[in-house]
Amino acid sequence: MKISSMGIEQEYKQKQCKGASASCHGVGSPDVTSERWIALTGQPNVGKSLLFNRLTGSRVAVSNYPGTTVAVEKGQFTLARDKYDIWDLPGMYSLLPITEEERVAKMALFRNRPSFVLHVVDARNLKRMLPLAMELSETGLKVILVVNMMDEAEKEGLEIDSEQLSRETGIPVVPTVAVTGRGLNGILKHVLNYRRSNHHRVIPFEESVERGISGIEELLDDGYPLCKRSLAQLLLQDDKDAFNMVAHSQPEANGTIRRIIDEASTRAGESLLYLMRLSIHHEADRISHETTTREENHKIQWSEKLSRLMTWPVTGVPLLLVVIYLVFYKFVGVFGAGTLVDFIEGQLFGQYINPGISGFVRDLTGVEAIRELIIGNYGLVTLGLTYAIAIILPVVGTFFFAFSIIEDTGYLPRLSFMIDRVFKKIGLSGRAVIPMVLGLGCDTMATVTTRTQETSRERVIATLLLALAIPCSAQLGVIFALLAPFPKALLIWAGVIIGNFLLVGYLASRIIPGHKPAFFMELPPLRLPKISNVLAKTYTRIVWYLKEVFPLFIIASLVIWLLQLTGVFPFILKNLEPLVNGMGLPDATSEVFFFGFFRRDYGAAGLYDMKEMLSAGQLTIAAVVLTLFVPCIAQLMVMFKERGAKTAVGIFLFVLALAFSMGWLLHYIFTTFNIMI
Amino acid sequence: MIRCSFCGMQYSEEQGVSACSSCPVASCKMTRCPNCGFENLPEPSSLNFFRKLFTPKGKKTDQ
Repeated sequence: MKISSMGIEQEYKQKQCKGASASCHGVGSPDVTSERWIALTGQPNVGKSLLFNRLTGSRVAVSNYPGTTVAVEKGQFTLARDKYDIWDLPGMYSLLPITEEERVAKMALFRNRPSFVLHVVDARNLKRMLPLAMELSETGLKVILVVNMMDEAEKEGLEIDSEQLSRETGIPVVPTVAVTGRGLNGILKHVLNYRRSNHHRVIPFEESVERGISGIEELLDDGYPLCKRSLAQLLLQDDKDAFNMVAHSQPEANGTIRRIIDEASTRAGESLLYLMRLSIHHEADRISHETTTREENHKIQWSEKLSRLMTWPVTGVPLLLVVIYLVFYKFVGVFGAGTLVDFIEGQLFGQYINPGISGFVRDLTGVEAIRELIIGNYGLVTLGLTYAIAIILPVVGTFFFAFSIIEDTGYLPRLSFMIDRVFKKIGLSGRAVIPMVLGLGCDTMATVTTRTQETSRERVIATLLLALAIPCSAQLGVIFALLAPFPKALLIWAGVIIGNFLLVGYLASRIIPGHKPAFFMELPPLRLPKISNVLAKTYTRIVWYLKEVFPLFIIASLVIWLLQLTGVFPFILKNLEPLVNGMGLPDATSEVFFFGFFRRDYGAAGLYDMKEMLSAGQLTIAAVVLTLFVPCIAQLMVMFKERGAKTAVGIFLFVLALAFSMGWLLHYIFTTFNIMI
Repeated sequence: MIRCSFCGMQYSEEQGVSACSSCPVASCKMTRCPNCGFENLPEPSSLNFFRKLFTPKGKKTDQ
């Protein structure tokens, strides 16, 4: 092989292309300059661009795909005196596109119909990469499977049987190392002499799906840019692009196809998309298992075993409790909200910063209103700055650090997988773990995330549970710190919150009509967290907190100062007092709940500030009510926008009533049965 | 491009931002993964300063 000014010039003799699909691919397209063009596909970060550069040299042009803003790199190379155009298509994960990039990659394959598709996969993650390779193989395009990063896979003790893989997938397989150019000749040989061993179906589906596929296949005419079976699969998975294709070519068939899909869905009793993705992944799992062998490697076996332990409920639940204990209780609660806050609030702010600023302001001005604004009980410094920097920042900072570690390991998707069964009992699926986990950071933004839930029933239940029982990280850290000296109090608090979460979720799933949710998630590999990643994520989140949340504390202080000045604040507190007194709490705690409505963490900081005034029992009641208490203003606004006024008001009133009822009930139980904590 | 911390999907900042249009905390810069909905933060530019500071000379950073 030699590299010329035109790219790579190959000395192979061109041979007649045999064994190609008879009906499923066209020749060239109006958008490319030569009759032979190659599409380079694959997920991001599999070495696709490196392979592109190896094939084209430096002759690269970048232009947007027609009608879109997505850039596609185009190049050329010469092989056996023939010129080939090659496009490096955007990364794609499946034939069901989510992003515009994925849609462009798919459109380029079906509209422009390449002569060959070089589908690049990462040899180390064959199981995750095979589903798209199998789907592409089914389209009937001339796909060559490029198993890249073989050197990395070999380092990890992986051995891939390319011939067996080729037999199983029905397409030629070439092991490569794009960095060094290893395997490049193999790719070019297959381009010159393409053969596929099997052009029949490679993905077996269950009977109800197969019947649906057959029914649709019979209806479809010839002339689609992909095989009928492949198109039928996309239609059954409700792919919009596939429906558009049919609407354009056979509008009269649309109704019958919809009927076949409905029948298949009824027969299956599950979401067809879910069932089909599951079948594709099972088949990928089987093929990967049969074609890959792994040398004895303790480190890798250990991570796989740990991954299984995390997803198996019997071991996964104790592991989750260990994570909660270590991360939230010991690190965020005891260290962050205890040790760090004691030092920053008690020492730095209590002895130096606040007295220093107070003295300076007193010397500066004699106007009482200005003094109150800056250093009064609800002043910008004494309340806003102290709460934001001295109390909440150490709590969220430790939380951000711990959360970044968890995130970087790949534990969260495993938690979703493990918790899926429990969540189904309360009308949700494992997918709802995402808003719940995000709610620990900020419930407002987590409420926006509920729109990713599959059904409207799931969206309402997830919104309700977020408003009711998911405390933000600052709230959680402060509550752990406050209740840490009283283990019984902590158990009561956890029992009430988890009990409410499950009971309300269960009842809501019984009352709110709708379909059962289906959940399918591909698990990314479990890995040791990289300290650079963890520090970068923690830093990014702390910058976000200082830029976005800190100003809200200052604004809240300003508003409270104004309300105080106008007499509105004392009026509101006066009206809240009977409610808090009914729960056995002193008048001053009404402030905490009012603060909590501004921001949850603001309320938590307020509770921390008055910890000396409350007994263990009162702290328990206040912590329970504050956790269950109504969502903050921002969250309420999102609820209105996302779920509509009726649902938002309904949730608000229900949560308000339930939170205070729980407080009164706990107070009643503590006093009636003389329970001392 | 941003890599989702939850599902590993890579997406551009614009795609993530477009998912957050209904949020009143409009300037938070969080982006939502279009695949799973997990929120991810684009790295602040000041992070590059620290990266350069702690990267030995001659060695490239991840960026």
